[in-house]
Amino acid sequence: MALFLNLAHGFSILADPRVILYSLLGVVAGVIIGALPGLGPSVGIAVLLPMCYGLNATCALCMLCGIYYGSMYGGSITAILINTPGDSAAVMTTLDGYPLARKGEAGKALGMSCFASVLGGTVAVVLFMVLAPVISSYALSFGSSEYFALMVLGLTSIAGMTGKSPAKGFLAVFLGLFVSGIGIDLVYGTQKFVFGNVHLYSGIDFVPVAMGLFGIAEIICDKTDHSIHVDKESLKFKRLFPTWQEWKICMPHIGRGTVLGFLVGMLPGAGATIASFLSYGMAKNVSKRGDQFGSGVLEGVAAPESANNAASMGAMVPMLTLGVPGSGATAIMMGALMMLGITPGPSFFTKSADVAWGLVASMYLGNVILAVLGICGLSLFVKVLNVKGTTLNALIFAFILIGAYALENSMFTVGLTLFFGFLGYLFKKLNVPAAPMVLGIVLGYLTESNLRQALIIDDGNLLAVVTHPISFVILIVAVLLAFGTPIKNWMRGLRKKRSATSI
Amino acid sequence: MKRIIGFLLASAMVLSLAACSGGSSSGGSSTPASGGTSAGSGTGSGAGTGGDAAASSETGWAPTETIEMVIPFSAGGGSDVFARKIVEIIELKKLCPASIIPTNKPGGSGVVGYTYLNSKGDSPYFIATTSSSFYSQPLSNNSPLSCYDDFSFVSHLCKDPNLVVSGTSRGFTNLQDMITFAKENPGTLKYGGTGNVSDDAILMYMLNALCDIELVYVPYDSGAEVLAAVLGGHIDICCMSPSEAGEHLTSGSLIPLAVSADERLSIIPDVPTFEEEGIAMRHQQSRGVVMNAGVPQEAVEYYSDLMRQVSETEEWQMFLKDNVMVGAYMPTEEYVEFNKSLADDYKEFLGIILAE
Amino acid sequence: MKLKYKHGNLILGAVAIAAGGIILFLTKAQKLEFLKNEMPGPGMFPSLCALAVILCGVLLLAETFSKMLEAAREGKADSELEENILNFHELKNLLVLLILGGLILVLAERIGLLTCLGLSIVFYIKIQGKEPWRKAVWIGVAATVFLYVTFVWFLRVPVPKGPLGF
Repeated sequence: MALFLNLAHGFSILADPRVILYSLLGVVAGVIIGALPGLGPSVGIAVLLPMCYGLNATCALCMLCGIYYGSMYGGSITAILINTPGDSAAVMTTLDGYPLARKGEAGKALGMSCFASVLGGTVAVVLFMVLAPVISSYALSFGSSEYFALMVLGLTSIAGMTGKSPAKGFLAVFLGLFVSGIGIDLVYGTQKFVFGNVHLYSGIDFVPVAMGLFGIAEIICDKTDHSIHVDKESLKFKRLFPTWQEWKICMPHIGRGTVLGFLVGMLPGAGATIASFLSYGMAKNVSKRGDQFGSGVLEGVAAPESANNAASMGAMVPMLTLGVPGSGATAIMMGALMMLGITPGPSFFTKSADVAWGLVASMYLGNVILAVLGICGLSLFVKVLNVKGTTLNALIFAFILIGAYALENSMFTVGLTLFFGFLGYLFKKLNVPAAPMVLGIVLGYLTESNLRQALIIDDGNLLAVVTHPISFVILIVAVLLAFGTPIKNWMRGLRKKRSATSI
Repeated sequence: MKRIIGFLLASAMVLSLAACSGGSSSGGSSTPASGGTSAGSGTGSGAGTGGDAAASSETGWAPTETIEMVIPFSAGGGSDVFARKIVEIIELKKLCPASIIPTNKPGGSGVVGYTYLNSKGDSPYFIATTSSSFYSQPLSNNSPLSCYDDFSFVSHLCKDPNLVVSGTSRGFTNLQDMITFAKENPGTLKYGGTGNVSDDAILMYMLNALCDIELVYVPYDSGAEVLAAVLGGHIDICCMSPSEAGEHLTSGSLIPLAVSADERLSIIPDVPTFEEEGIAMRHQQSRGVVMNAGVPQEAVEYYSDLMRQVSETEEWQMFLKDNVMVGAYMPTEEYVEFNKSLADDYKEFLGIILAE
Repeated sequence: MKLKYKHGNLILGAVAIAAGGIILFLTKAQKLEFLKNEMPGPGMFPSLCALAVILCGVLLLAETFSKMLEAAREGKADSELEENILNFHELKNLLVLLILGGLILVLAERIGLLTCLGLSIVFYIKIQGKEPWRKAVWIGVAATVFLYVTFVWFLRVPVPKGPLGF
């Protein structure tokens, strides 16, 4: 009961038109910034932070949150339309979103992405509201050994993405794992494959790699001299909505993705990216059309999208209730909060009740705004594809390069993107899937560093590391997933033999 | 037609956002004050220098072009907040006739930013902020620059005290509990910190040496991870700045053991300094402003005076208080001496770390 | 230019093995120890990845050879293996983009990043799109202005500026 009273109080704060205006501004800005290749929520929040100086805390916080989840959706727009994920959480959306666009169903993909994001986000807000004060200790129970297990689980979901030739898929993964290890060693401070190049000290960020492997490679291999034919029919308002049949298929995926995304997003060391990987992997395993994933299946868009928006909500839990920011974006948001005089922490919901519940209410509002924006903007977004092929490619090329520069204000990243663009071309020609390499880069560093931290904590005892209760459970799940299909086939073969001999 | 309207709406929104954000005080281009003396910002300038608020060195050097403040780290971090506050105060109080633009040049734990500064030669229009990585990177052979010779030391501004805290799982209530336990169980207590050559690491090695105990270092990538680990009981102790620890210090989920500072911190007045406990350690993160080695002396003096004025403003005092930092303005000569002794300290302990 | 799919696979396999070998060599050369203080050292993960890469290369070679043998045995050509993977249009794209990219990298600090990007848009549209100069220049200028407003003015990204101030 107290919950509803608090929420009602929150909505009453929303009645101030300024709050609504700033929320709207935040979401719009977030979508635009998220759509620009290479820029993600951290940049958006950092840039619009100065606007918050004069505002009261509620307006500012609502705007920042709007940016945060607006950019989660924005990243998927470019992922679907031009195969260039706007941020790491949108990589999984490219796998099925872009093939859908090529088939002329861009509207449907964008529509499902929008709905999945909004549904995932809204349900996550409910979970946030109900669970946040209670569940923060869960987030803390994950230490290095537990994160290591989670990363291993993430890596096993790659096995599902290797396509026809597993050797090539695994080659991409291990190359990605290797690339993620470049940089200064976390434990000993030695330079690994850096060769004195200052720009490599902190390693190779996943974004230039993704923009090159996906975006630039796509431009190089674009054989069309004309625009991608978007069936005018498919843009009709009705067609933008998934059909009832498609809803029925996607809803369970959205549900699972949301819960998974929220739980994973709450862990400070994981985040929206890992949540989207796991959700995609789970959807692939569960869906009847599992082996068609990658060729343009709608659930392949719904699952990761709901997961990454739910995860961004989840990431706010440790940030607000414990003062532990889970990612770069939440770290900047926390800085903004402290600047506004609010200290996130265990008493956030009690001491700053106004701000807290106004924030929760604004999250609902933000999701609504996102839905409206998504629907209205859909036909506009898709018109992008009407532009003549080579012109579009030239513009995308420029956008990608300047986005690469903006990452660290350095031309080195631009060069890196071009290099990976060239590599992406080779991959495409030789039929090596690019997504596993990106996964390898994202997960590799985390796997290695968490394992080594866990070993230091457990005094070098590997057995102790894997037998922490939570780690053990997750690792068992990972083993089952990895060997699940062969084991299933083996058992099926056994059953057939038994029934054959019994006849 | 629809497309044109849509495009116009979008551009209008973008432009209005740009206009809004351009109007705020940080980073926007401020109109240079006309002529020499600028009246009217006398209230903030603190004690006694009379009406002329615009700083000027004895030889009258004053900047005539835009100044770039290089922040060797990315937006949102401690150095960024520190640098932007300085710029904000200067613009608010109109202490400088030219505008100062803060620019982030992250990468290489600060090395990219400092080499960028170095590439600007003896131009007096580039300044940069320092923090612990100013020392740790060159002294661990990760930077082509030297923290002794390649810079002109404008002024030292403040210190970030280091607070050693413990989680609740071991039941420590004060520093002596921890040291007793550590002596009886060498190698058991796990101490978390960020990176390998940061202040956190150095503090642990200093503790090990001064108290004759053996704490084990667990490296993490960010302060947030360390905080989560110690709250969750995965590591036993860690070092953090008081602002990072926030509410946990007073709520009981973290137990502050001791402060590495010159004096006790006002937010936790019951927590002793290491020196009070008999351990000769007062290592803190130093924050100052530097320029390139070749910059003309009069420009350096100008900036030094400018920083002095900043440090005397009310806004600066409030900023220090909010972020639990200790003000310690030092003009150029004093800073040069201080820098040398601080660098020597870093050198000694980094040597121990790197030998492992 | 022609390159058969099967040859592409073989080259990839060989390159993978070579790459793995190079990584192992470099790991040794940088003195990254496999085990340090009885725990994984900085060299462990790169070495393991390198070994895995070599293994993948070997598997790929094995897979390709067995497919080739099977095709030879059955007497008919496997259409997939014989497919030519090179395409003139793509190669031209690749060349143009690499050259433009290279020029951007070299010239950005001198004449400004936005200028370079604008020029690259113009040239790409002209060379690959075969549009008239006027159209190409119009689009290039409009795009550069948009990039300027978005990235330099709105997002305040400090791009390398050229003599013209942008």
